[in-house]
Amino acid sequence: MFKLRKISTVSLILLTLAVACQGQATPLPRATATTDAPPPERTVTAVPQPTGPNIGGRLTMTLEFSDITTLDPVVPDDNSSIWTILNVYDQVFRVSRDGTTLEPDAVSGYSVSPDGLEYLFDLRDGLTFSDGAPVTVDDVVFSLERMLASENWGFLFPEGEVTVEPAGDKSFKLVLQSPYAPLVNNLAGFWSSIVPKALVEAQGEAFWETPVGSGPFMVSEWVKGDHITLARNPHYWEAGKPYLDEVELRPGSDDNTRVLRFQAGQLDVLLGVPYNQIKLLDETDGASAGVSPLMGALRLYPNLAQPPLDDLNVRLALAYAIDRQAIIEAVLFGYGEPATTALIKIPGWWNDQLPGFPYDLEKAKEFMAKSSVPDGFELTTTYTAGSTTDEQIAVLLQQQWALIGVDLVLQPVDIAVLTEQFGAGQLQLNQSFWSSSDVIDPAETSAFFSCRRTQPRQGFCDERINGLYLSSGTIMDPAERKAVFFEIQELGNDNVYWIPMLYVPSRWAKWDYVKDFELLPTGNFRLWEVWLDK
Amino acid sequence: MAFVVAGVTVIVFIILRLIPGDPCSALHGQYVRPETIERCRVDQGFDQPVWVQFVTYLGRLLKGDLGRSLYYRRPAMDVFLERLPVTVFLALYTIAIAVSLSIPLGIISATNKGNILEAIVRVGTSITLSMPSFWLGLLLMLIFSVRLRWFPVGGYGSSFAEHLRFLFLPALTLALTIATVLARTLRNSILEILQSDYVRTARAKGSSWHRVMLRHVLRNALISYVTLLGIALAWVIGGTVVIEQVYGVPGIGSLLINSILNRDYDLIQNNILVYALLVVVINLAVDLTYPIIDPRVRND
Repeated sequence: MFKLRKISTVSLILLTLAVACQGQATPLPRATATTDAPPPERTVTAVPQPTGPNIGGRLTMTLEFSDITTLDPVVPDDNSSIWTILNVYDQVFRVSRDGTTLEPDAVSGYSVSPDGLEYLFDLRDGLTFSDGAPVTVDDVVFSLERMLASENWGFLFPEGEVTVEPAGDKSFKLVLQSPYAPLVNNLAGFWSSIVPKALVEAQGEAFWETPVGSGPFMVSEWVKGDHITLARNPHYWEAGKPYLDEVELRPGSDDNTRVLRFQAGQLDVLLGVPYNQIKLLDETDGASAGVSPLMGALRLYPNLAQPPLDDLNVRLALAYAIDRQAIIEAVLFGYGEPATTALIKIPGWWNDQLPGFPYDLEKAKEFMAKSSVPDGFELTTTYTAGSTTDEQIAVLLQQQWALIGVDLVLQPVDIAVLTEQFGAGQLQLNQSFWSSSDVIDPAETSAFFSCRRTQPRQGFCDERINGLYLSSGTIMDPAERKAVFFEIQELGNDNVYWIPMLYVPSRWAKWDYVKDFELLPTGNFRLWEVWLDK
Repeated sequence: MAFVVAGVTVIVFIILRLIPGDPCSALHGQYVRPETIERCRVDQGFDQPVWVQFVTYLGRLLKGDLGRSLYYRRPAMDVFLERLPVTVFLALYTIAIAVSLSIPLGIISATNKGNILEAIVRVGTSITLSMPSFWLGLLLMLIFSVRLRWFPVGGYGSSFAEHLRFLFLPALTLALTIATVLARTLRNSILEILQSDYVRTARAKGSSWHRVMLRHVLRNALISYVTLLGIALAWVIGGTVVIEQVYGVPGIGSLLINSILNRDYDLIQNNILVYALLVVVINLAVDLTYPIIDPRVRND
């Protein structure tokens, strides 16, 4: 009897558990109405799903291939440092999300004197550093003076001709000796980041280890070579942003390792996806991968001081003999487009009327026949050792140019050697300088047009192009300035001083719960707008 | 030891100045004015003859100034010391795993001569030894990180527990390679010692197999094992260069590669100097363990 009671108790418990564990509870019988009236119709209203950004969460993403070298905004030229800086500090202006205009960042507005020599900027109200101290005009003046004096980025402004002065408690001005058209655009670069004067002066170099900025995030941890963690800046001026609590930025490493990290779920966003992995990652459940427009290009730099590259017919032959589309298909897996001019595709400045050098083998052969080396010649191309993309492009160039009698010798060297030898004019053909822009004005990336650079590197100085380039900074009328850059590109193409190769996109992959993450045409990203739907 | 350090310093200094590639060009990139690069070369003394640069370098060294990283814009030793613990951790972790694997494998292989267990160990070690470490690393990442999600792919972590977890696969990658060599060496030593008279005597006296292995066989076999372990540790220190790149571990190996690519002279110099010192110290440590293992050496 006792045993039966025990079994019954156990059975009852098991039955209870079985019922409780059911995914859907069995509905209880409803009390029926006592009248004969039909039961009221039930309308089921869907529970509204939350829309808009979720606040909170932690995002982990890669940076570029190299380590973060410094968070001093006037120093770096590596993207890992630059993209971090853009999220830790405010700049005077910032590039809009679609990369076509500027937005005020640390300033709320500005005005220009009629003679174009004085720019007055109003500091944004409520701008506060992450340590709670207000951003003052003195901080802005200090930051911009540092930038103007810096070796790496001061060249973006006329040397010795720009001064920064306070103009009251809430305003500052830039005073120029002559008009400078790209001034406002160039104040949107990472180099114009605002830093706290007192702390920088007091701490010196140590400040850059744990910097303080007024940007959307602040540095909370930095394990050198491994990752940097940014936490939300509670004093950020843009109300309600950033949405994320934290962002972990990891410098990139080996291509395979980065992709595996993403696939293992260790990364929410992956940048610099290898071209051959984009489709694979896009087909991964729950993930997306693709490309975004980038103001980026590859061009070849022939050295006109080394015959027969001084022969225009030779350069024309080389330019027309390149099947750029074939290179895009084979090396970039279809992601990219043939370049038509030497300038990168900055909207409004890139000459879209030029046909470039569409692949025409017969035309190339005609130019070779007319040249000083109709039977062909040996040419050495130098590219970055270890870059699979550069090597593959070199191999394809070797095959394509063989058809016009050019025996292309491949010379991979490491980047330090390439940079030195190119600067000293020791290369016959430099194949490896990929170009992009941090601002939406050609000033930053068009310096290679000037004789100051073409003479030592490529053995020529085109006075017309040089004059146009040097004058481009002083022409305030946008249409006239645009015409100048258009003419530079036309002259560049007519003389084939540079052989345009490819326009390349940014490559990314992310899990679908990452929302509003986009790469701007300047290559950077606005983490303060990103949120997680999970 | 002083001669080794001095020799390494001189040789590295000269080689760095002889190989092409200018640190200032690498530092400033393609956009700056040519005059900026020239100014950098003068400021850093790279425009001076090599012997003048060497004398200047020695002068700084004698004052304890180990130079400045051009790339990181900080004292070179600071940059180096941030990364050194990572590599030391990885190296010791590797050795710990290698020893844990190789000793049992060596014993199993020696005591099961001719049977299936020995065959498995022998074939397994041969396969592992023939795999390039970077390929093995990728394979382990694919299986254990991506598919099984047991371990993260690369990195270092922030806490001690995270270091153990993050560095397990890199350490295992290195350990598998050296464990195979160590296991084979141990196996051969054990087999040789098992033929010895004193082992036969011990067994004849009635000692258990377990006691004979521990007290007589293993202790004697460890002498050659420890010698090889010292060499392996020195190899591991150098081997971390590849593994740190593959796994994205922020140690001195990956620092060395980047500093060579950037021609960061002072950082390279410090890096290689410390590598040389470590090898010397490891060899010394190995020599010091012999008396512990074999009292006869102590008595000698």
